[in-house]
Amino acid sequence: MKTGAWWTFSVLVLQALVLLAALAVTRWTPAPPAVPALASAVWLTPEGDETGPVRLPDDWRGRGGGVQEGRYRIGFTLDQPAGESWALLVDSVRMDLQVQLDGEALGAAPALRGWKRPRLVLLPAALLHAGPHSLTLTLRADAPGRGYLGQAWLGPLALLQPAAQQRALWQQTLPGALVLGLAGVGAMMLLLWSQRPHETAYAYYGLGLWSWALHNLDFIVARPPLPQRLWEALAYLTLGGFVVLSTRFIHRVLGWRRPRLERGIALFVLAGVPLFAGLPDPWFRAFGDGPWNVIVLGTGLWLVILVHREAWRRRDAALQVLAASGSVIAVFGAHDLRIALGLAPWGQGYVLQYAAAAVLCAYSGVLVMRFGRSLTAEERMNDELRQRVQEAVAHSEVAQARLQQLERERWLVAERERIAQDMHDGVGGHLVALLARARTGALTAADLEPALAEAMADLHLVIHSLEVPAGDLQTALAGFRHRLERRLAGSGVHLRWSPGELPLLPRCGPGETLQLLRLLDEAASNAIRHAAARTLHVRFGIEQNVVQIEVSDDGQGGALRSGPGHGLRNLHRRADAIGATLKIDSASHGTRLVLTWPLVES
Amino acid sequence: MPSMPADPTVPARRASVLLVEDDAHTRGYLAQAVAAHPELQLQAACADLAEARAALDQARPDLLLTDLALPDGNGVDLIAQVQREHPGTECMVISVFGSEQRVLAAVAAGASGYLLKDEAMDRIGEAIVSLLAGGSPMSPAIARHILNRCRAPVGTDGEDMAVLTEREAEVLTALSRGFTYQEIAAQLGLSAHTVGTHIKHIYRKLEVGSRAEAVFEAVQLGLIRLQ
Repeated sequence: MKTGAWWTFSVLVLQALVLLAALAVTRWTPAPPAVPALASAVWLTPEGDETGPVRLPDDWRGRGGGVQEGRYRIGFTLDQPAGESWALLVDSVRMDLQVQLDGEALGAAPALRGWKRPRLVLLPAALLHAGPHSLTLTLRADAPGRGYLGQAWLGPLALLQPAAQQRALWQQTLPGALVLGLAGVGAMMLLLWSQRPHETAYAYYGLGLWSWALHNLDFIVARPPLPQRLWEALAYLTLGGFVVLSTRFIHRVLGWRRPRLERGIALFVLAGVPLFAGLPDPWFRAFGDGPWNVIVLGTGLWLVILVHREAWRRRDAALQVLAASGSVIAVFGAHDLRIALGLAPWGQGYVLQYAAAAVLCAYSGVLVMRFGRSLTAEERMNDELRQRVQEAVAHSEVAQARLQQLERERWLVAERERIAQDMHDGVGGHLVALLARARTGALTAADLEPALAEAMADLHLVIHSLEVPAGDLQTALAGFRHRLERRLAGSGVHLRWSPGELPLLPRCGPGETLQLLRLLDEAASNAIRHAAARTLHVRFGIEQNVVQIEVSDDGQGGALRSGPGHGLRNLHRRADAIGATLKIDSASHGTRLVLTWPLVES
Repeated sequence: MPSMPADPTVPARRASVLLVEDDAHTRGYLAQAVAAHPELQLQAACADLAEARAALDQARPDLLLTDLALPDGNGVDLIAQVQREHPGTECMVISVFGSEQRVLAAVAAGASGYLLKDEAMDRIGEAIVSLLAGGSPMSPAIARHILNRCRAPVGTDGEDMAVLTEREAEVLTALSRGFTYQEIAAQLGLSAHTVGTHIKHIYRKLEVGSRAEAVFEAVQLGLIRLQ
């Protein structure tokens, strides 16, 4: 929220406007009907004697005497028959009224709590003949000395009806609608709370609204379903309940934890229950309208001031809205408290129930803002999270790519080194030996061709080991046989070829393939050159992840050991280099060489 | 390098061979090998494409034996030209290692086989005669390569590129496992000659159209649709 002079100014103006509007509402009265109001009525003694005129409206509290039921007489004379129905309109009574025209009862039987609603009593045209007439108004109060007869108008029905309807709308229909609104919004809040149990603000708000709705029922229910005493106690207690729950709601909204204070207020309201149950009749209402109302409404006022202060401190728009609605409650409450304490006449009566409209708007507004805020916060968090995940993914992709690139480069370097090593060991070695022999004169023309052919064969081997797809030992071995066949041509040696099925072997890269092919080449060369074999048998296969390659011949055994160079050692070195085991079984009838290569590293 | 004139004493029934190889010694070795074979005669031994084209203008050889890397161009172009102008002439590539890519490039242009430069002299003539008789050589690596290519799915519809016959696939599989033509023939109940013929057919399937380079690239990319 922006701070600054503009904010301060707007808040002050808005709060002042709300305050003024609330004050204006308490002063407002509906337009009077088109006939003049009755200025006075004659007060009748219980025996029916006229005692003299009293001014209307008449508030019994100013008069003492302590009666619970009283009668007024209003006399009027018609010069000629009225010809149309007339009516008596009384804007407010406490508690109910029964009307007789010339001794004949009119309207419905009196209700227990028919207050806070306008009375329009029909005077049928048939009864309104020319001559004097007498209206007797029997007023019944809820307690001795607490009666009230409001403003009254007498005249043709047509002239009184619009004003009566307007008053019914304001005094009955609107409070009824507000009760329904309070109950409905309260239910919604409790539903919301059931979805988010940790947000107790919703629960307190919902229950608070219900409490107030119950309180307001007293203004619209004329015939309560409970005994009068109980019903009135309920009205007092529900107002107290509203304040208890409002305190908790506001504490939650402010983010305050004040369990002791909350408990204290709750205990006070609970203490009201035995008091209202136990106090004898005159004290019951005196307590309810006096200390109870003062303390309850005083607590409410304190809450309002608290919210105003926090709204001001925090520069929070939502709190300002709450505070404004609090102003309305405070003004209306003060208005009603003055009436309850007898400092002001009953007049239009209590108005606190109308504050429900402001409270519903404000509190609902705050909750919607709160909801909106948390939704926005959640979305922002989601967005941030998504963004972070995307960044992380992008980052890891880059890292992955870099890693792959490094891996490739590392592999290329390793491969280059390996190939250089192969050239050094293979062709390079052959050529250097050849060169040395040529330089020392030890090279004859006859030696040259086989020596070069051998160098060339090794080059073929290197090239083919690179050509075979990685891991395809099957094809590599087939290539070995293909090349071997060329060397065997014309040698008189027959090759038996028994290939098994080999799967792709990931462990078998170009380096391993070359070692293996060299090993086999050397074994075959030995059989051909030194063992004078007639048949060479190559077979291979795989069993339980172990590749087995067998080269056997029918030549003279022991040739490997007696042959030139380090044939045997070389074979073992190559087998070791790829992690294979070589077993050589050389006897007089031939040599059998078995290479065992487990593909799962131990 | 001047071209070598054909030996006039060679009987007419001998198959004529046009040799194209830029290295004089190798050319001499190969020419000698061809001339030494009783069923062959050397039409001409050329050092580059220009000489080869001049020789082709004079007479159609039964077989073109050419190196790929020539001073004035690529032997693949010469093979494509021969395929276009003399469809009856067999083409054979001379290669140091018979490596897969080079051989397949030549095959795509229309070659039916390859000859290794370091082959023993008596085997050179035999290989040429064998090719003329309808049989093509193939190494296990090349067989494996063709099998893999033909089995690899192409495009998004999972359609198999290839369309080798069952017998051709059997021959390729056996070749890729290292068996000789004779052994394959025995296994499949064929003559060794028929095995060679199958190989030649497979090569022909790899050669589509006359645009050798495009085809080669297509094969490399796995886009070609055989048959």
